[in-house]
Amino acid sequence: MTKRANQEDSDDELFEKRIKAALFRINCPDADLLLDYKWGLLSAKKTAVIHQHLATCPYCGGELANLVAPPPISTSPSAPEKQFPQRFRTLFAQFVGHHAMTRSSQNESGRGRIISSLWYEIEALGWDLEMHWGLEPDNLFLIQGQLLGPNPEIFDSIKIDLIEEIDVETGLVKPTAKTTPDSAGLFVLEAIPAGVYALRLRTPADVIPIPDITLNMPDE
Amino acid sequence: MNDSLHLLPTDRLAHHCEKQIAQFKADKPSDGSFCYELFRRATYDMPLAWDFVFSLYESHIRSRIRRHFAGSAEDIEDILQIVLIKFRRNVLTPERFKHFPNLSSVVAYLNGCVQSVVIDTARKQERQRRAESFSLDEGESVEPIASQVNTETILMEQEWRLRVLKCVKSHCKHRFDDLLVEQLWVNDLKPQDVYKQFPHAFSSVKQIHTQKRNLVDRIKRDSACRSLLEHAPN
Repeated sequence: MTKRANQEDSDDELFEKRIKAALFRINCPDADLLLDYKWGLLSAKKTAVIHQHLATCPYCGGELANLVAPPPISTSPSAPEKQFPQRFRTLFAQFVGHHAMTRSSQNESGRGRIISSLWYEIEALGWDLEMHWGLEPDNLFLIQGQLLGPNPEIFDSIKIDLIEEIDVETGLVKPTAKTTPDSAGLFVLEAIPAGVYALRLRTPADVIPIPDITLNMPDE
Repeated sequence: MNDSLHLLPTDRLAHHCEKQIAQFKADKPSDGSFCYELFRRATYDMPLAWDFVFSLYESHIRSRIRRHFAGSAEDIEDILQIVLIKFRRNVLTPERFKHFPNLSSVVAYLNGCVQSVVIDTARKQERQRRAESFSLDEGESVEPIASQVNTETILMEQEWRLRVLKCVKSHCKHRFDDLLVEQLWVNDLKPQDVYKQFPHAFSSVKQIHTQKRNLVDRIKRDSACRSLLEHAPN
């Protein structure tokens, strides 16, 4: 073979290598999709696509086999679990944001100064919860809040507890203060000492726990 | 489950979680509900929850990475970051978290995230090695793992590869050319292995070589394809 022919072959080989490097496993799904496939977390459509790919790919099947499978649902827990009768459905609030204020602005009722605010969404009920608290002249806190939602007619059947003491062993909680919103969803909790609390909203059917309501004395 | 867990301050919850992790590591009975509640709070963006999850499980993730991947401390750090990003995106949303009924399932999926990131890293390094193998310049280094975190880099590379595929396929004259592209270049099979799998498509291994060479020639004559292949993104 001539030197020129050898050079052309070498160029072709190099060119083909570039193509291979670019196209190698281009159709293979990312490994986290394989993981989700194995765990049954994908939509029916995506599952079908990956199933079809696995039928022809020489690589993904091996990778799939090595990925951890979901654990079996255990019927006997490894340790005695604390079981308490559940009378209510527990719903969770999505934290949206907080706003720490240090300026001396009076709150909406004209009392004290607002120190902090919190916003939550309770998606299952379509509610928003907004709270802010301020320090009164007696160095106790005033918490003001409002529930906003599509069914305000049930607001006055809601019980709101502010809880400080929580015993995880017994499940007992001790409310520091209690209240009920008015028909506009407004509520007030007065004369609250500094500390870390949880708010518990109870409707006739649901319980909505909101931990980490931290009432700190402001830095002077 | 003890509903009072949902009311516990997050730092106290993390403390209980840490105690139960120690129990578990000492092969003693442990209660996973504290750590599970901590993960749940991270799902709902509760302040501090994710920070506690990270601090309590960071060493676990690192040890899992080391189990599957032999690399530098810097590489392991980069993989850790990618694992955390993927775990947070794939598990820690209220909708996805419903699929994880207990702590065992959450931690098992976390371990799966480690494996999947290591697999993707190995794939990418393999692609880089192939790309390097044709380089005429010596000393070209493997692309650092950290680039996997860079979404823009990932998207650029994906887009480039798809453009190459489109260019190559535009020169496929019939379905057997498509088969060659798929088996020789995407799946990286040897011609004799392609013939074994598809004896009905080709008369001989020699025919595969000839057809491949013709296809390469057509692609090579296309200046746009050639330019694309010569200018891979970094």
